Amino acid sequence: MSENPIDTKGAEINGFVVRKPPSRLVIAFRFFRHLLSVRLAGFALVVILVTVIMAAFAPFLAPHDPTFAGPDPLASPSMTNLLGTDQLGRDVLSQLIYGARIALAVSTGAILFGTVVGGLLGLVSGYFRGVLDAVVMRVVDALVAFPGLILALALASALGPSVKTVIIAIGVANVPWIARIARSEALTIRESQYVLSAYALGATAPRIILRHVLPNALAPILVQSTLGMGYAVLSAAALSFLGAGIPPPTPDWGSMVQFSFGLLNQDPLLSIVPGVAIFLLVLAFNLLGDAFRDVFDPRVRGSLS
Amino acid sequence: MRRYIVLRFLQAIPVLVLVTFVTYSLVLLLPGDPVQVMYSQGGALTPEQEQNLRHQLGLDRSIPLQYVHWVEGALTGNFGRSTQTRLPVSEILHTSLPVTLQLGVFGLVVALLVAIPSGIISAVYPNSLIDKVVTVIAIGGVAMPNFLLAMLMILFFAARLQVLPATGFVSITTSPVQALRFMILPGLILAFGISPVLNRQVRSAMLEVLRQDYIRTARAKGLGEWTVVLTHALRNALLPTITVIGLLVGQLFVGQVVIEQIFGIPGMGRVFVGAILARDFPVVQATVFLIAGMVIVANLVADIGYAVLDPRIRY
Repeated sequence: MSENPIDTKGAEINGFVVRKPPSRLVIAFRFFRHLLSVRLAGFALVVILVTVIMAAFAPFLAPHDPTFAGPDPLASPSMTNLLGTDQLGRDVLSQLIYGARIALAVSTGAILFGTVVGGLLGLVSGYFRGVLDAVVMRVVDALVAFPGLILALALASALGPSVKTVIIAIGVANVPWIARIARSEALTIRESQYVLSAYALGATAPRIILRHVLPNALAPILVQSTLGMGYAVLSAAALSFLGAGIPPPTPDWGSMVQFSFGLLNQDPLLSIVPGVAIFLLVLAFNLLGDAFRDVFDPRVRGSLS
Repeated sequence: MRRYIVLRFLQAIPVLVLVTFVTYSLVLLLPGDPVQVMYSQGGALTPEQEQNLRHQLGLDRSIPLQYVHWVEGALTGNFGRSTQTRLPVSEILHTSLPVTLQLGVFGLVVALLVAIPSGIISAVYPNSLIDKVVTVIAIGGVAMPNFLLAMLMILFFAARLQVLPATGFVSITTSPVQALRFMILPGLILAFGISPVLNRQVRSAMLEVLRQDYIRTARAKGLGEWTVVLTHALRNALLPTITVIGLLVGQLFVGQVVIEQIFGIPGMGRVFVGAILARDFPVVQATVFLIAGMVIVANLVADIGYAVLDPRIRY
């Protein structure tokens, strides 16, 4: 019908306009532009970027050794200690900068664990259905009955305090939520024409799940994972605050709050400053998760291309 | 309807069994020998004492048998004795559970009183200034660590203004007025933790309902806007909230674990943390089991309540 070749402007075939798909770089650019257009997504990215820079370059950025007990405990903010020192004389700013490492390690580690385990469980049980699905989903139901922090606290105490323990404990708490989302996506996707085509071509189940179901289920899983990262930071902080999290002397925001909590009336900034850091990072992850949801929502997706 | 209720009950049974299984497995995760870990602080045990203790605790039996024994006890309210205080666990729960329930119910009521009206107003005037303010508070509320909010509130209300006590607890049966005074700060913080979720839920449900045809009919026959909202729309808009409340019971308890610690409230959250730190496993098992059981029951009640109240839903 149209004289335009497909690869420039698109051709009309049977009433459908057919265009050459844009390159991956173009898609990535459009995705990013759309993401930034969501309210406060820019703020979220800046906060996360600052945290990543603090974590990556902590030895260069921190003015002091975060674990070094200096001669001047409970010092007010000054030129040598920009945010003052705690009751052991440790520099608060340096602890804050190093603490970003634990915050990011715990949240990414826990979510990676929860997403891989939960995602695979959900995709497999949603794809195969039947007895396997029924069994996996009852286990997921049982895990959901344990509130995240309760399960994490019990696991952390059973496995003994360490960074690895905290990651596993919070990761396990994330498994059931990711599994539920992955399963519901897999249930829809398995009925699609492209899965039928792949099956007809003789693709094996693992190949169908990894090449066809997974990529199409990825968007909602990514949204949930990003929101889960915020919750992981909160949970890790609560674990440390209750004394069952990251063991001292590793610099950690939750431990900082806990360590100086008794001095709340004399020196409130010592606990409030790391508390605000936790708040900002959680806020950033939540806003980013919301922004991902806006961008991935099919009703909004139209404006992407 | 009856079929759905029966099915929903039956579905809860395997979940409850799995919950007992997970709860019990927590002990198996404990590295080393339970007897040695539990009684290591009391000095060395003679082999004979250890043998007796093992028999007394049922640890000389196979693991499946031990599990069955524990479940038998749990079903009759016998969770063994605390390794810390040697008190029966049921006795500890008997004193701490009412405290937690009192604070939890207070927090939930406050959350509903804040979240429902604000959700309605946001939905009736979408994108207005008040809607935007509520949205900002809700987004901030989800990200706010409860201990940070607790610190700020203690500093302001207890230390600066000195109008409210910073720590302590009074039972509502002893003195309702004093009980309220002590519950205001922890209750508000608890409510702040869950009301953003409730608020968003009410707002989106109300927006959805206000688009329905029967609402247009009500407006068309000349009813005032608030009559339409409060008598025609509200009932349908609040229905899904029931499910969300069921889901929030666990979240409420998570909040209590931290808040009871900060405010020195002798509830189950404090018992739980104390037991975790002292590795008092009979108490940990009992509290974890009780919490998970309450979450399952709350969700069961919410699901059935929803089905009973909404005649449009047929299963």
